[in-house]
Amino acid sequence: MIAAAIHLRKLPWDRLPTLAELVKQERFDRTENREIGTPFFMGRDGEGNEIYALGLGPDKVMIRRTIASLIKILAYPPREILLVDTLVCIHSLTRIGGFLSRRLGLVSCGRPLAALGIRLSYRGLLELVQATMAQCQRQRNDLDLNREI
Amino acid sequence: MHIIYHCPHPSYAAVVAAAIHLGLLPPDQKPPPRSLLEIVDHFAWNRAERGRIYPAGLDEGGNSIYFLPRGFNLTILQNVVAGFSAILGVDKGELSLVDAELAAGRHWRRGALFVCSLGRIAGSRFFPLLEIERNYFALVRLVEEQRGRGQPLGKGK
Repeated sequence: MIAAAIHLRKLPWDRLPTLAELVKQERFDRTENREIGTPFFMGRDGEGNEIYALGLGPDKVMIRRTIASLIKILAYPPREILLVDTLVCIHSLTRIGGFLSRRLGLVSCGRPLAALGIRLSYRGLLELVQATMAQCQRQRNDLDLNREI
Repeated sequence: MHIIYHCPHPSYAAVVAAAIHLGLLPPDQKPPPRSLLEIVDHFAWNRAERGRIYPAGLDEGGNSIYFLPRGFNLTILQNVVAGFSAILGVDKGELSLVDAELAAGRHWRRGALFVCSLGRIAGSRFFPLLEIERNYFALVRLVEEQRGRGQPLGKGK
């Protein structure tokens, strides 16, 4: 959710966001268990790319295989979809906060803790988003080049 | 239309359902265990990776039949398939995700899957075969129902 918000410039690129800014983000720490696996449409970026946020649950390797298989059997161009794992740069406080809030229902202490973890890993998330946007641009250029050829 | 039969990996229900759908197993009589094992080996079910969708063949109506070994959590899989099908522009009814596990019945399911998991660890194929033996005609009904009508996307049976 936060990486998507950074991508869509709903969160700042030049400073750390406040905890209040993070907590009021759309769907932040609000996904129910029954919604895990649902891709949430977050908006379109300046290049026209559709940005989604997706939680994969505990068995993310299995779910990534399913997504890759679906793309293959439906003969969708694989380079049109980019799956970016944001958990690699998430601080453990966010995981603890998420567990307290979502699993134990202790929202009042879990949510601020999750937001604090996001703040601590914000630079990493920002770099991840920037790298992803650069990759989108490269793939778009490759596609354009192929069309010209 | 794409029809994907799925079940937890310790069970053989999905691959057997796909085989029934394709006419590789008879709908009117229980096949001997050897035939079931031939089907399981033919589709290399035991080596299949959880989460990957494997093509089984085309039925007489030109529908693509697949099987999918999964984990025990069904909700996430259903959400992902429904969500990504929508993103990829699949029309509703063009893709059907069929839960072959449900054919077994809830109480049997829990016990059998536990025992099948133990059997898998022990390398035994007795328990998955026993499950199919008990529920073969339930799987046949599931397949016939699926053949008869398209199911809503991601709902399964």
